[in-house]
Amino acid sequence: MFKKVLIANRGEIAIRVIRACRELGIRTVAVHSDADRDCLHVRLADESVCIGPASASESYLNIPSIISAAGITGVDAIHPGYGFLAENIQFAEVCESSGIKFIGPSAEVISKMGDKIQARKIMEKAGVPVIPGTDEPVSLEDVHLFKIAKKIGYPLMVKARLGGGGKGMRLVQDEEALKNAIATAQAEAKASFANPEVYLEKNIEAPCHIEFQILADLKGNVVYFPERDCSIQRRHQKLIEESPSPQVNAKLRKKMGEAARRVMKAIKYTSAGTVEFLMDQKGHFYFIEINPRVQVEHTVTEMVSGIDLVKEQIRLAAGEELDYDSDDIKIQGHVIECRITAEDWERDFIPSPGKVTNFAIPGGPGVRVDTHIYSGYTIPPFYDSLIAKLLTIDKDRESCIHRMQRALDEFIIEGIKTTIPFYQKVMRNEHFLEGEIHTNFIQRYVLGG
Amino acid sequence: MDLEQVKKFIELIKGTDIEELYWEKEGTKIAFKRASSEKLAEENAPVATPQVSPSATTTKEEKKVLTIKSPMVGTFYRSLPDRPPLVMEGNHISPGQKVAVIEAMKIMKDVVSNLQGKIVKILVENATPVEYGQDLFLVETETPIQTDKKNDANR
Repeated sequence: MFKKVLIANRGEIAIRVIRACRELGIRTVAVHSDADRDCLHVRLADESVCIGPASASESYLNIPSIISAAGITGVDAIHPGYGFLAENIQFAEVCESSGIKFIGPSAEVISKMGDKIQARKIMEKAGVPVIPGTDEPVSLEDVHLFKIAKKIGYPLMVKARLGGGGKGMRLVQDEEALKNAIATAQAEAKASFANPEVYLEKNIEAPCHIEFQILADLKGNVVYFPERDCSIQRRHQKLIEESPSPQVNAKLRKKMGEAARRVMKAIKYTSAGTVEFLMDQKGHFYFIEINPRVQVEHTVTEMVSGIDLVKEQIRLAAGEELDYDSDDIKIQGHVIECRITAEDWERDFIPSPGKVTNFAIPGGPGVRVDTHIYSGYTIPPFYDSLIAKLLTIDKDRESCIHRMQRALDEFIIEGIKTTIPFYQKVMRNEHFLEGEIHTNFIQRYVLGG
Repeated sequence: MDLEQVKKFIELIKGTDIEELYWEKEGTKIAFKRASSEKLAEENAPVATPQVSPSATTTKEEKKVLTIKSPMVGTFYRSLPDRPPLVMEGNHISPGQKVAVIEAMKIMKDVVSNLQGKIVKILVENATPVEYGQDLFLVETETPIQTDKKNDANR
C-alpha cells in the first residue's frame, strides 16, 4: 500500500481523496494555488505545497509544478481527482516515467478512449450498440456529405473527435444547417481540443442518460455497479443523479451492465471508470463514452452499494484484486444527489463567487454532504462553481425525494447565491415525482422552455 | 501574524542597524521603529538650511525590508552545481540580478531580484524544497527621499 499520496486537485474531491487516504493509513499532500490558501483541503491534508498563482493553468494544470511538488514531498502516488489533469495523457505518462503511480487507468487507455471515433469502433467490435453515425471524420469537401447525413437522418449531432463531457457538440435540425454546423464545430474543436476533426451521430430525442460505475483490477476482473440515472442536465452538464434509475428494471440492468463489462474488458481497463449510455423512449440503449476517472457522482454509487469507491480505487492502484462480483452488490435503497453550485439560477445560472457568511449543512438519517465550504470561507472566482453535493438515501424513490426536500430546506448557505432554491423547485415538480426524467427535463419543465 | 512571528522580527532587527522595518503580506501589516535619540538629531538637521536646493538634500534614507519570493515550487539552490554561491548575506543587489536557482523536474529556473538593496538574511538553506511564493531572501531596500515638508505630507 502507498505510504504517501499527493492529491492533484482542490475543493470537495480533494477532501474526498484525503478522507479515503486517512482511512487507509496513507499520508496526504495537498497542492494549492496562491488563491486557495484557505481552501479546506489544504487544512485537512498532512502536508501542503503552494504550487503557483491563482490561474488554473499556472497551478492545478501545471504539470512540472505538480511533479515538482510530488518530488519534494516524496510521494509514491498521485490521485488526480476529476477535471484538471485526471484525463491528461501527458500527465499520466510523466507520472509513470517519474516512478510515481498515477491512481487511474493507464495513459494508453485514456488515449484510446479520448478518441471518440476509435472508441466507437472498439465498441462495435465488442458487440456493444453505438449510436448510428459515421466511423470516420467528415469533411465539408466530401461530395457524399449530404448523402451520409441523410442516411443517419435528421436531427443529428456533429461531435468533436477529441471532445467529450458534453463539450464540442452541435445539434443540426436539417440539411440547410449542416455545413455551417460542421464548420463551426470544427473551429470550436480546434480551439478546445487542438484537433478540428468532427463526426456525425443520429440525435436521440429526449434520451435518458444511464451510466454504470466500473471497477477493474490488474487481473482483468471487472465489476459493474447498479446504474446511475443522470438524465437531469442543463447544457449537457449533470445537475441531479439518482440510483437506481426509474427507467431500468432488473433485466435491463443486467443487460446493460454486462455490456458495460464487455466494453471495459475489450479495452483492458483498470482502476475506476464509468461507461455511459443513452437510452431512447423505446428502451434501446447506445454506448456514448467512457469516463476514465472517478466522477463527481461516484458518491451516488457509494451510497446505493455501501462500497467506498475511492478506497477501492486506491487499493486497485496499489495492486490489490477485487474479491467480489456484481452479483454480490446489493442495492441498499434509492439515492438522489443534487449538485449545489454557487450560481444564480434565476439569472441564467451566472456564477456567484464571494464570501459565505453563514453555512450549516443538513443532517439526520440518510443524508450525506460532500463539501469544502465553511462559514467565513471566500469562494474564489477562478475555478468551477460546485460547492456541495447533497445526497439522500431512503427505502424507495418517493421517500428519498421527501428526504431530499427536508435536507434542502435545512441547508443554510448565506452570502452568495446558490442553486438550492432551484433544486427545491425540481424536488416538488410533478413530472420529477412521476419519474418522467430525460435530458430535456430542465428546459421543458423547470425553466419553461 | 502571531506573537512568535513578532518575536522573530524583533530578534532579526536587534543584531542589525535597521531603524525601520515595515512588513506587509496579504493584508497583514506590522511596522517596527527603533527609538533612538541620536537618530532624532539627524532627522532634524536637514531642515536648518532652507537655501539648499531640494535635490541636494538626500541625507535620510528610508529603508524597507522586503522579500524576494520563489517563482516556482521546487528545490532551492544558492548556485548552479559546483559553482560558488551567487550571493551572500551583506551583498548589495540590483533588480534583474540572478540570486538563486530553483530546480524542478530537472529544469533550472533563475530567481531574479526585483529589489535594489542589501541582503540581510538568506531565509532558506541550500538544497531544500520551497513552495511557490515562499520567502527566500530578506532585503533591506534603499530608496533615497527628501525630507522637506512636501514629502512629509505625502508620506
